[in-house]
Amino acid sequence: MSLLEIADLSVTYASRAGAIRAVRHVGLRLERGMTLGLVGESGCGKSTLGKAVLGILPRGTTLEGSIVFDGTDLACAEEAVMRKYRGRNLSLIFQDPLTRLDPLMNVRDHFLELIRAHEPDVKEADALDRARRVLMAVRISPDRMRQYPHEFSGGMRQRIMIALALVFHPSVLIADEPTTSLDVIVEAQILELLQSIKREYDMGVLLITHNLGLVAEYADEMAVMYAGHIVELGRVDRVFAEPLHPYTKALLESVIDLDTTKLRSIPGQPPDLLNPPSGCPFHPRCPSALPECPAAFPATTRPREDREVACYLYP
Amino acid sequence: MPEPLVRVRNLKVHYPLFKGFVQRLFGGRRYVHAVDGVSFDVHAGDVFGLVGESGCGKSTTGRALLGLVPVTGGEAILEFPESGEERAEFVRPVGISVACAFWLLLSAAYAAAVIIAPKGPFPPYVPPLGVFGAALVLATSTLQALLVWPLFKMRPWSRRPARALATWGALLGFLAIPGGLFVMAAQVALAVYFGTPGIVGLLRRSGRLVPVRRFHLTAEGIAEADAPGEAAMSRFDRVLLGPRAVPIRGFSWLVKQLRSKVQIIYQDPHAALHPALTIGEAIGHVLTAHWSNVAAAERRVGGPERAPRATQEAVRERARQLLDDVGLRPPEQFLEKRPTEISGGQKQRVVIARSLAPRPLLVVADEPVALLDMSIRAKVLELMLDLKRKYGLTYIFITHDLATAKLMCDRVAIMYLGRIVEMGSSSRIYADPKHPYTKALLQAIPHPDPKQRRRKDLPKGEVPDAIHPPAGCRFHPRCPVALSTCGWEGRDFIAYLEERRLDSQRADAEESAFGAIDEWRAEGLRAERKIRAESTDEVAGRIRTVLAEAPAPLAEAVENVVASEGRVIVRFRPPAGLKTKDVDERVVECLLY
Repeated sequence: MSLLEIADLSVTYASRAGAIRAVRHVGLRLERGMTLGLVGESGCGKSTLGKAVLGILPRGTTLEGSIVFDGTDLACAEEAVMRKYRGRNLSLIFQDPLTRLDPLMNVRDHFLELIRAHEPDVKEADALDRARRVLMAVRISPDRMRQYPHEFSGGMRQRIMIALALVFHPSVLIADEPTTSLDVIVEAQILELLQSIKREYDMGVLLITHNLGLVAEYADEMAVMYAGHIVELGRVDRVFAEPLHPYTKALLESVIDLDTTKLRSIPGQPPDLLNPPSGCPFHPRCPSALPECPAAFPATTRPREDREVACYLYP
Repeated sequence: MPEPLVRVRNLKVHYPLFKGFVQRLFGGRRYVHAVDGVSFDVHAGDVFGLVGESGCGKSTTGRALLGLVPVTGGEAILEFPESGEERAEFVRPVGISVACAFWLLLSAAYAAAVIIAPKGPFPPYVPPLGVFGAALVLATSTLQALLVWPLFKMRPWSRRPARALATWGALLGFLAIPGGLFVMAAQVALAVYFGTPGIVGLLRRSGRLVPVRRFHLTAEGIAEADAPGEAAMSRFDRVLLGPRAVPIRGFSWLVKQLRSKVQIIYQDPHAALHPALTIGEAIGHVLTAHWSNVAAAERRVGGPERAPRATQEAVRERARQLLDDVGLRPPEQFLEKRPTEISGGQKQRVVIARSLAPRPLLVVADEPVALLDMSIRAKVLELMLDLKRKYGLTYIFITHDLATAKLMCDRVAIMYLGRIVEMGSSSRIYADPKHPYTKALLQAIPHPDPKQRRRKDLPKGEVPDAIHPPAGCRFHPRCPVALSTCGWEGRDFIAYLEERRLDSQRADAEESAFGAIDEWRAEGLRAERKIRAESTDEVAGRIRTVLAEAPAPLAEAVENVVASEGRVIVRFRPPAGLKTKDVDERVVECLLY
């Protein structure tokens, strides 16, 4: 059995303008020791998926389908059950550490609050000892425990976030754009760190990002999302070598890297989430659209080993 | 080679930090050294890249060129090609100073007359005011002269200062009623008489462009470099009119002139557009404000000789054209939309259209695609290159993304902590980077090819804070190939001690030997700590052992370890002088070369 298994998950936000179907019929599996890269452009539902796993979606959001972790279906779990898992077995690293760390609490207090939330009777000395150990693991000197978030640089704040996520040795770590607010060198440092910690703690990491370069370098499997759907899923090296879905192809071509000599982009505009195109949402921008594309979303098929694609080109 | 469009020499921009009042009184003010001595040239028609991580000063450099932030030191000269007919009109400088002097003299004479003849020399106009009234008249007219004075510094003349002069004169004149009426009348007469060639001439030429060719940005503010007519100014006039530079804070005719030639594309299109304005209004405002420049640009490409009036239709037509040029079609529909109704990529196109509205020659693009989705970035970059050809633009392209810079730029400057570390043609720099920092940056870029995964040899740590930039080469604490002369100093030693603590086996032993990290103080080239008098020699000895294990450049840079009366001092040698050098067809600032 997989560590985390998401099946047929749909998330619908209620908004004044109408229902926004952010995630639609998504299925994913995460194993121990694996990094699953979830890529897509802004608004494709990748962050919503991460939040759904942790049960931190806003009130009034409807969840259908199942998220099975440790034999429990988190999609319909009570808040009390979620609280038990969240931060202990399932941890999250956010995009912007400065807004997620409390500016009025020093690092020590952040750790104490987190540990006491799960173990109310813990001795302070034990809690601090644990904090010290994870801080060392992320290469931050425990001497700085009394300092406040503003006294750390951006990369160090993100390291503190990672340390906080690691306190209880979680088995699933969801990293939602962990390095978007950081510079390239620090980004590489943080991801190298995540990589070594993943091995050390034997976790499954869900790496949510818009940066295909990061997925190529650090993920084992990747899922490509477009307008709430997963359009392609497979091993990273295979997907990069032979992308099957037209969106994956176009997305890989539009990446600007040091070897790019010609600018390529995907024609048309990103989908409007309130009124997504019918059928396969990519059909208005797709170069190889078929007549049946606007009618209904294609079923997921396995045209290759270890590959799932949702496209009429691969029946 | 033709004269560069932009010439920046040793430019510095330091932002003051606002600490507490007491600290400001006694501790002196501290500054963020955002840009600390950069020099570069940008030639017309080029795309010049400023590349670096956040906090390296790339955006500040771009903003300084628009006069959006005041310059602290050094200079920037922006020179724009002149097209024959548009020459500046000038008031005869002698006329200005003589007119001002006469105002003062006349006011004084008038006041004297009131005092000498209490009943007044001109019975119908001057009531018996007495000494108090005379002083009031004298004060108001002096104030008037002083207020009008700065207007003369706003050269070249336009109808705006002339209009302002008339308004202020009238307002102040009424304040000093009834005596002021007389003063005011005399002033207007004198100004008109002495300033005739300029003011009257300009009033007649209202609506025409008065272009400035060369802008000179310095710590004093913005000035017109080598203004025509400068030579005609007498020494007397120069003293009287004071420095020519006008501060960039507040209204200045020169700043507006500069901004019609230099424009900026902001990073965040969501924040750059006012949510309450339709796109037509947002672009229309800019068009109206810079109308004379728009008309002049049209005249250059065969537009009407007489500038068209900025009517609603004329502005709308040009806004429509701009939207069409940035690929928002049909433009009529977009004119009526508000920013919330369009996507991020479309918003950035609107921002680009708006920046082109004044018909600039130089555009500072500050991370124009950083916030856009991968699938539309290429399109916006292509659009920028198309517009460059169509409008004859020069770009300063600011980005943290080396891959985008490689595609877009003819020349790039790699910046680190307020300095340019390497600058040259992009083909050379990308093919064979010389500076260790450039190498590190290129290596850190994630490569979208899973087959090329490799372990990265990354520089340690992060960009230090720019309030106290490191001594010597600013990259030395992170540099993998640093030398002992690169600028090692006290705090590098403390950082090294802190790093050693991360090794849990050593941590406790070292804490007892050297004390907690925050007991150490770094002062320039020294790191020191108070210790008990009896253990001085022992501590000094242990520091020497620790230093022996330290990275070679750090250890070699230590001059000596001194243990004296209750304190131990680690002293470093001063760094070698760092100069930019020409290496292999590019400029590098590194001691390796």
